Amino acid sequence: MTKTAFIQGFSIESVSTTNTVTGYCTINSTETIHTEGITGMIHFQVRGRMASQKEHIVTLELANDMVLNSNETYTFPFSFTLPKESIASYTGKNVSFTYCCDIIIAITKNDSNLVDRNVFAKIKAIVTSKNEIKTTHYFDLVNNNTAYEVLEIKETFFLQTNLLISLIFILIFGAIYSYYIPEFNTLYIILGVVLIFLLVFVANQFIKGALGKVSLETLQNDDGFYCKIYKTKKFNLSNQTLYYEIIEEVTDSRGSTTATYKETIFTSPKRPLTDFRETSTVQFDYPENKNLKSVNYKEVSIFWRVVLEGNYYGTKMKYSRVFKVLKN
Amino acid sequence: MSPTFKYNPFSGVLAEDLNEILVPRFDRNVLMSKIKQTDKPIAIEFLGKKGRGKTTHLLHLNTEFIDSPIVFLNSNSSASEVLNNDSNPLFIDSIHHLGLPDRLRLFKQNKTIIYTTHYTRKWECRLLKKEIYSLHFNGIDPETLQHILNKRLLLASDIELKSTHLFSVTDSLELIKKFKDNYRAIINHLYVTYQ
Repeated sequence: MTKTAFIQGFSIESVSTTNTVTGYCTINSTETIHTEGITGMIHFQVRGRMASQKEHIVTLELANDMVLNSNETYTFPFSFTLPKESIASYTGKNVSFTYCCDIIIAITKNDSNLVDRNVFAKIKAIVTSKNEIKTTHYFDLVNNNTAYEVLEIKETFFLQTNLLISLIFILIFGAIYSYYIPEFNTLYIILGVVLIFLLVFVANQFIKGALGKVSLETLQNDDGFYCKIYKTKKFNLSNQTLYYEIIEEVTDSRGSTTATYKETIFTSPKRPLTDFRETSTVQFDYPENKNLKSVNYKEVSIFWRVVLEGNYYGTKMKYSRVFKVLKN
Repeated sequence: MSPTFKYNPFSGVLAEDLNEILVPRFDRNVLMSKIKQTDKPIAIEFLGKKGRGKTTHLLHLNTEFIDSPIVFLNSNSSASEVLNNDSNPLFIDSIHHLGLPDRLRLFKQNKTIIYTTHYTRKWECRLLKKEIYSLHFNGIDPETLQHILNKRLLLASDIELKSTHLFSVTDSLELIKKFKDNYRAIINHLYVTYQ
């Protein structure tokens, strides 16, 4: 007897501004077969260099008690609405967000032995013990109909640790160590590392105090957003530039140790801050990719931050502030 | 031509796919009989350096015990999470995040404890007269690695893969030469290659 195989198709037609997704799936059975029901299970998947996650979003009842005649293609239209805060499909260096639909065909008990159990029959499917055939279809979900919207904040910038200063202290320590204690001594090395951390911290605090406070205010604008920078009189860097960047951050806490992977996925053009007395306002456009809003999902985040760069006695100083961008 | 995968085959494995990709390093039946001997609770340790598959095997074993979820410890975890946990057997990932006094209190409890660790806890168990069974996670042979890697490729693919798409023993040997038995490092390296 010829075994039944299924040929399936899955397509997303549109995503509305309210995140209503419409599409259809097609099923063609090579032999006539009786089904108890056909169900679609929509899931959101996060895969990457961390513990992957699969979250059930919605269940679609596509058919009930239906006979699939041989070589006839059946189309099952569907529509579902995703929550407003849903994350768009994305493939980055360390993580991907994707959606999938598990089409589950429940075969009647009498017909279950007619099914081709080869997992590669037409399309990879899993025959479960409950006379069900599950096929997974992956699809991208992007919503280009909604616009970015910056969350308006007024916050202080953070001074990032300067690598050059750290390097100078390491070199000084290395020179002193090799001169006075030429042989390897674990205790002195540990003490040296602690001392370098302490000195870098003190130097950072000193520079922070010397320069004073600098703050960021974000404001929504028609095509982009404004960054308004407030500074004290003391704050005086040369060649000041402002830009923003979007960063993908993944924390891998699988197993007994934790690792963090960071990747800059977008950097805006750098804008010089001219005539910067007390305040300065710069307008930025949003990136062309409309699906990079701020995301914070378990061990994954995509965050936006404004960076203020400038020179302080010949050393490049970097101030940064994270802000949120949503989609309306 | 390279096949197109549904997702990166070397990304983190979903809990539901764990049984599909795991190549067990131990006899599950032996371990189950040790866990189920209720008259004499035991400590079972998955012992090895980081990235050798201890947590993956713990997750795999834990699928048999739906009423005993794994307690994942980290540097911010509180000892009470395990000391006041009613599960028996009790599954703990990264027991080294507990201090010695807390570990002794834990081993003193009249229950079977299954945990991952970088260093053996046999002296602590001996001190408390608790039987201990250690499973060592070190070393990897090229055939096993080849099997593990190919299982991941097959799971992530919709089409039947040709032998040219699959890893050969020579490929595994090259990876072992580069990364030794650090399974996690191999997977991370391949993640970048396949992304």
